[in-house]
Amino acid sequence: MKPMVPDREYPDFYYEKLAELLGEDRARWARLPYEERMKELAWYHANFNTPDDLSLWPAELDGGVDRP
Amino acid sequence: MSGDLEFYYIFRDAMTDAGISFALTSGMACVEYGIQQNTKDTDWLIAPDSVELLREMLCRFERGLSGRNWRIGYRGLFGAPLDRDYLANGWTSHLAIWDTPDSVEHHLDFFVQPPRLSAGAALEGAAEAIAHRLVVAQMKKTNRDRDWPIAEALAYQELLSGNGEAVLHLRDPEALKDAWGLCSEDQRRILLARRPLLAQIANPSPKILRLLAAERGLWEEVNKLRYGRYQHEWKAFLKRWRAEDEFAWPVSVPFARQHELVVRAADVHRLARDPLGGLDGRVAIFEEAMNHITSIFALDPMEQKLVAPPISEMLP
Repeated sequence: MKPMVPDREYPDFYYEKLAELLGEDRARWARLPYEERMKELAWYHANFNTPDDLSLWPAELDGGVDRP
Repeated sequence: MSGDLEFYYIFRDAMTDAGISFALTSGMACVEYGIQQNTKDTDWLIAPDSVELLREMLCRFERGLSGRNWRIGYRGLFGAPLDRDYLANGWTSHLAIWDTPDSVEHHLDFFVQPPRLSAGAALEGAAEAIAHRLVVAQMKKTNRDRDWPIAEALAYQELLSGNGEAVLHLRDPEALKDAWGLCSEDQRRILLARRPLLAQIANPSPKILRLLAAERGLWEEVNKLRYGRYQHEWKAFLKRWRAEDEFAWPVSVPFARQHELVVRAADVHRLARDPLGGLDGRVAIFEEAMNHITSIFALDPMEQKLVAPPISEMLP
């Protein structure tokens, strides 16, 4: 799989900001090359039910609120 | 068997080959932009003129005459028919596709006019079949806490690439100043009309954080009221449909037949095309949300003006 858009290069500041906004793990993930990012995501998909899959109603019909 | 990640590439290529104008958006677009989302669903913006082409493509693939032999169906809670009239009024259509006999169930949602964007603006700046970062950011101004940091991260990507328009989605006063500094005078006039709070950026008052919170609160409240209209409309429609003697849904018939069934049901049981009720309905939502935020944040009239983007921005 190739990225749909070329990966941009960001300064460390961006990844620090990402860690602040979304957590250290997502900032670590963002630093990986595209192929490794997708491999990790595929593993999550294979092993976990992700939140949207637990939603009975589509987001615009239940407000997209966080579900347990 | 294709996993969800491989499948959206397959689906993208199929739409390109069919001459459909589209862009990937929301969670999977964020993944492509390097912002992790664990959703398996894909969300697609479709140009109004391409909705019929998309439907034809799906029917063709299901018939298996083109080399593909997919199983396609509306999901139980299907939103609205895959029909331009509905989608251009803010509805979405929710489909499930199995692309091989042992395939997982792929979930795809289709938008023409996504929340907070006009149909034209949604596809503006889309490149390589993916929605522009700031389009995705605008869609992420929901009432889910988890969406706001994503909108901001996308805006930081634009800021760091020299796009001052990031100023529409940033929420940190220092970053806002940086983005504002990238804008020309002409750009500033346009951006200020879309986000009045930018008037405070050059010389932020000590109240700026409170005003930023009130502004976010207004977006959240408008989103909550907006989806409430769609939810109410859909549930009332389903109730009327269920009262039919012959009611059966979901059904295992080809997609083309499912489409006929949902179009007929939407027509007979009066699924409103525009649950927001035109401009008057939008004004009512905006005013209700504004009253709510004014009382929570004790906003004075000047502050109300500062935190309120125009209705055309929030409910196009």
